[in-house]
Amino acid sequence: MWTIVKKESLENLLTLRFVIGFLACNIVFGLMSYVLVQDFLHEWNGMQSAEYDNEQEMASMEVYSFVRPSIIREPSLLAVFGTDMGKQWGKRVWISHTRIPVFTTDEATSGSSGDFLGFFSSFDFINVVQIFISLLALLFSFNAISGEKERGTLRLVLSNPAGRTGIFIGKYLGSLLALAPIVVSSMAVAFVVFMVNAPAPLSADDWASAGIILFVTLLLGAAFAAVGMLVSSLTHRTASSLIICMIVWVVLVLVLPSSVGFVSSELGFSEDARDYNRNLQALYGEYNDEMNQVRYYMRDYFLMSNVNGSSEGRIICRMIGDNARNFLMTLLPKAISAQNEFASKRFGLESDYYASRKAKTELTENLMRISPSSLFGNIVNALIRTDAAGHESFIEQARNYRQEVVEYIESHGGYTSSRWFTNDVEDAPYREMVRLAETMTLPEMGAAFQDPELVQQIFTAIEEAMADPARKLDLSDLPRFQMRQQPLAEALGAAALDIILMSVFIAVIVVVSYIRFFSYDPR
Amino acid sequence: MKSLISFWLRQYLKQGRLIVIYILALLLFLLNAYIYASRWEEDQQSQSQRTRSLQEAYDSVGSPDDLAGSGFWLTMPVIPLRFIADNNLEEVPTRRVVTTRNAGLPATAEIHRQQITGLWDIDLAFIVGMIFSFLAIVLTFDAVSGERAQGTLKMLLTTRVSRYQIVLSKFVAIVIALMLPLLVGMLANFLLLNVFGVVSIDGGQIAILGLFFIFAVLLLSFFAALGILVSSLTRSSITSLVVLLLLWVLLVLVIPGASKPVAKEVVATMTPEEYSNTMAEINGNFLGELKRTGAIDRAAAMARVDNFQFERIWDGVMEDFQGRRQSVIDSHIRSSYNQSETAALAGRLSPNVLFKQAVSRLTGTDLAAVREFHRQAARFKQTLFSFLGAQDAQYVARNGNFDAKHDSAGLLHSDGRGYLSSNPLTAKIPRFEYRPSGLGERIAGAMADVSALVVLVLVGVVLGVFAFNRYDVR
Repeated sequence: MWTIVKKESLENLLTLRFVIGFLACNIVFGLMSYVLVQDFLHEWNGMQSAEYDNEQEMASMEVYSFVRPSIIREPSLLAVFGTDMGKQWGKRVWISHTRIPVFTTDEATSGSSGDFLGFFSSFDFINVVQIFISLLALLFSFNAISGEKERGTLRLVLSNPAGRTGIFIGKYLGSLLALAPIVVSSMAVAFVVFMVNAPAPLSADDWASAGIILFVTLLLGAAFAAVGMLVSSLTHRTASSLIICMIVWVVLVLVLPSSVGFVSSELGFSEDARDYNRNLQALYGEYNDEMNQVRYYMRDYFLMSNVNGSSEGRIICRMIGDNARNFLMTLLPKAISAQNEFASKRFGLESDYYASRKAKTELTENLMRISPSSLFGNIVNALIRTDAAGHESFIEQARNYRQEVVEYIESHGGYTSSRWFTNDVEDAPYREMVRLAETMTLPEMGAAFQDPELVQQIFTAIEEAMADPARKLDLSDLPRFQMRQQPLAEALGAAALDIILMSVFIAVIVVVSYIRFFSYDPR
Repeated sequence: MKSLISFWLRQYLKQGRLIVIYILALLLFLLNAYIYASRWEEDQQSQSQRTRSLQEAYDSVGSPDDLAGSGFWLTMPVIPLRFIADNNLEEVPTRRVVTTRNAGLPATAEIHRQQITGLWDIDLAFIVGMIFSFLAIVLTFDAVSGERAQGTLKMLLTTRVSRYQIVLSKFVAIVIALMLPLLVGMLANFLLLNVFGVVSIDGGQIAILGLFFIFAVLLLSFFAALGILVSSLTRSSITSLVVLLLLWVLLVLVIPGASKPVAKEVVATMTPEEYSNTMAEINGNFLGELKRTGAIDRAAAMARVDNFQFERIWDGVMEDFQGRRQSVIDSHIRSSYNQSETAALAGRLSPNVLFKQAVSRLTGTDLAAVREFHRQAARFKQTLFSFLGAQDAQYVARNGNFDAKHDSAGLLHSDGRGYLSSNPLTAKIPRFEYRPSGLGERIAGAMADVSALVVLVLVGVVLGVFAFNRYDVR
């Protein structure tokens, strides 16, 4: 039998199609890896600078209602080889006590990106592998049996003592052996290009994942080689087996993954989204009714300049008097409890929406699992954590981090002291002015502002007060977010189902074509 | 020549491989009709929702103050012919908020990204550009080498027909064999879409579909010519197929797919973070400057005494500030346009992109159409602003200054022109009307790409004839 394997693989290796396929795959994989890694570097640097910005912002915080650290999902290094990370799930979460994360903050926005590249479909590494490897695998096996038949050599081959079993296995392994060098070398080229440009060294887990990805790519080749064997054992002419192979390829690789959009539009995603938006609007309305009373009073106490307006949960007054402070303190518990209630209601709404959407997404994914090409995509995405499980793990971590931040603010009395809404400290130099202003009538105030000296005095006082370091919050012991990548075992667990399905697919196709070959008429 | 064409055609039709292909093509056309019928319904729903909220925004404007404080979300109208070339319209910014001061950053319609979308939209451009071009290759890879194996060529060359007649007739026969399913599929597709009410039998739409058909035939001619060329350069059918498939993958998948990352490399635009940082910087500088010069404090102090004075100072300050913001927005949009145009340019190495660009221009789903929309939206800002100016002048002429009836409660929200008056408007506020460019203009816009495609086809045919002339038929 080994002689047959050797003969078959040599026969494939010494053809022009092998040479062309080998060169094309190496060049395209290498180039693709280069282009994608450059793109990834942008993203990576953007992430680093966003982290820096966040630190800067935390250092300049003056009131607790502004403490809303933004966290960014750190991609696994190998994400270069997966589906464009962040595009599907979003990657940034604002941590605040008014929102318990279910989605990323940048997931579903009417994104004012000004980015017109949406016109072009993005083409990731997975697509390239799917297309090239599946096509080559079919080309190496489509005429394995029908070709021999057409040339009339099949009868001769069947007289070999290895028997039909030996010949079948020999032919299948032969086409795989011809495919293997292409897969291994082009993946290696892509990986080396990536390594040279990678922004950080790879961990042991990354190496293991890379190894498994290589193995799964071989599996993809094996699956399509099996399809080729099956078609070739069903037909008696090379031309027809080729046409059938090509049509099967178009359906499995091009049409099926694209018609998923159609299935998902039939499942009512948009209706769900509309319902969700309507409910959210209603919830906002309720919440705003409650908050507006609070805001109304607070606004009344905004004294002249340097008052930034209030947006959800953020109220900052630079300069308020005792009367105002005491009054606002009576409003504070109401505001905080309204915000907490809003947060938990919104969490309920969002997790329901997420769950229903997930159920539908899974249904479409299951439909796609007919095609080994989609299975391959699922496995790779699971291994490099660009799949749903990776996203959920990030959201889970964001939720835990939010809890930590809330507890931190609570333990520093953020929610119950005036530091929630003002950076005003006792004995500030302008206090006299404030007291004066609070007791003035409007005409008096108008008259006072006509006096340029007094105005100047007030502004100098304010400026001095602003420079007071005691106004800054000391957030150096605020817990910082540390993204924890899912361990490899977990990722493998997520990929296991698809790996098993892929193996089953290969086994079934091989067995069926073996049975067909057994009753194949060589005449 | 004619008899030769019908001879080849009959040979193809007898083969049976066409039948499978025809059925697949027809199914895809029906699928397309079904998808876009439901999408059209969806589009119309969201469009009417947006029109309603825009109407509400118009209606809620009662006074100059309201107008100065409100923004209007303008949305590019949905395009029924989207089933021809979809271009991921959901992910392209086709909305924009316009105030009297600013035309905001173009925004995408609200999408929930987790909804799985396919890698490619099954629009007509996909069916022709990907599936039919693939079929063209499957039909032609053995056009010459296969005939050699069968010995037909030797036989034909003994008759009076010349070599170039053989190859040209073969080329024409293949193109006709591809045109037939295309025609049948498009007809079925049109009827189905007509039933669903997406398209109607009107001159403009039929003209566009007719032109689409012509462009599609051009693209398929290119692939047929390519197939004949490669087939007459190789001795074995398998080698020819491998070469053709790789060329196909390169032209149809790799080049268009790589154009996006390449454009990102070549033309830099601000990331969302950079953009918001720049904006924050402008805001910060602005506040800092105001504080330094005391303008805001003077203005606020003035507001307690003399609103007219306040309005003047505040107006000048805001004009400057919003102008700075607008220039950042504008330059960001400009570089985004550049980026996208670079991507299209890089993609034009592939005839598929030429075809797709021409077809998108025709249907009005391309960058030029979206750009036109944003240009008109930005012009609407000017209209609103001068309307407000006119209201302002009228008011001053009547009442002398702004202070007359204003109660100075201290609520200083002075966006836009900072009206503190709640006097009713004396005229209806202008409405936004989007006028898409006409069909003639769009056809003219598509011509550059189409001519490039024609040149490619001619070059392909000439090279194919040349190669076949030197082909050894033994």
